[in-house]
Amino acid sequence: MTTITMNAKGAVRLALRAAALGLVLMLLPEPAKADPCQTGAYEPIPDCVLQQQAPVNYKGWQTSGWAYYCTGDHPYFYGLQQGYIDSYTWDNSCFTVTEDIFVDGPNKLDVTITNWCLKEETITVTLGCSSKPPPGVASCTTVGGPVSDPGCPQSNVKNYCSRGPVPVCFQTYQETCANKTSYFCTMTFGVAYCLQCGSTGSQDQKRASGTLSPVLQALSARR
Amino acid sequence: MPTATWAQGRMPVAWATGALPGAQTRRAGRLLLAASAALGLTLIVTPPASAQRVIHDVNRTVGFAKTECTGHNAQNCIAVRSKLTTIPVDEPVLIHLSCPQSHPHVVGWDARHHEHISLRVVSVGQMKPGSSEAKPRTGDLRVAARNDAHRPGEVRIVAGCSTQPYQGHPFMHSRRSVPSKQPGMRR
Repeated sequence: MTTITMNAKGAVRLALRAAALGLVLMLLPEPAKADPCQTGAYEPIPDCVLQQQAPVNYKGWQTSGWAYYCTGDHPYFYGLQQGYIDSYTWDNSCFTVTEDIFVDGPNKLDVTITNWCLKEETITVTLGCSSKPPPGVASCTTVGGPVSDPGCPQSNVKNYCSRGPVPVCFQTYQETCANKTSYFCTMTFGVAYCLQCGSTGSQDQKRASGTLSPVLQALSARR
Repeated sequence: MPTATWAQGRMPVAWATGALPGAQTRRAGRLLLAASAALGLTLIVTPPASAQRVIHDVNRTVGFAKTECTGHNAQNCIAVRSKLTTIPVDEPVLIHLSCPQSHPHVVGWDARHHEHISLRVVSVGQMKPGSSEAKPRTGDLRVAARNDAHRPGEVRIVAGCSTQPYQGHPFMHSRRSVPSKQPGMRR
């Protein structure tokens, strides 16, 4: 019979090695993912364009939290809050990128990024961004792509502000022109664009508010 | 018979002796169970301070990464440095930076700090689109610095100040280092 003896120090060392191995396996840098607009098993993000963000430098073993925004005439981000897990990508396998669902916003991706390499590295994140608002934001059913603001009388003005220390906001409103054509418009960082309403009226509005996600409901309540 | 109270750190005698009516006893029992579960969870989730304090190399410094003007035109953006600030053990420090009138908008920040110092943005001036009332306050940056180890550490913050307002570029809201003395971490 073989007897295996191990002193307490040896056991602790073994346990630490096992824990370290587990940690390394858990935190192995992920390979950069494919096109964020083609999200695999999920429905594709509507009218999605890729918005490559500015590159960011990291020192070795540095961890930082960052907010990335969809802007221009495609200001809406479809992240974990909308059930999309692959709507962003990055270009450097030294990094892990973890989305924080609770701090995401309708226009914001909030992530914790770690550079696991020992030397300084640069990461560029690319978001899949949409002109179509997530369910519950638009006051009508929109059709077609973005058009410039027709400048008709506005109604139903709403402000949405992202959570976190940097309150980045965007504004939505409806415009109804003299020819009875209605538009749902979004303004972010001074850029406004509109989507034509396919059908308008209180029914659409009721449907929209009925499908408001809990996060957007909370944002609306804070206004 | 003396009655023990919560203030004395003991369970009320009525609970201990089962003198409460049935429903109240059950409710009290549930409360006690919930409190015990919460306490247990807290003890599991929160490592003891001594455990946190052996994982950092308190002599290692993480340098500037040039992130203060990320995404902005370098010609319009200048760096405003804080003084070197010492962060005592167990005493968070709030560091406040203001942009000059010539470059009145905070658009980012960077830092050089000891490995065991964690940084988090507390506030930046309001940045609501089209809001004129927010404009005067966009030049303020407040960052909280926390010491995660047993030795004081130092930090210097750099704010990126621009002539142009913030336009939705990537914005860093926290920064720290991977603890380099964790098991398995070798430089």
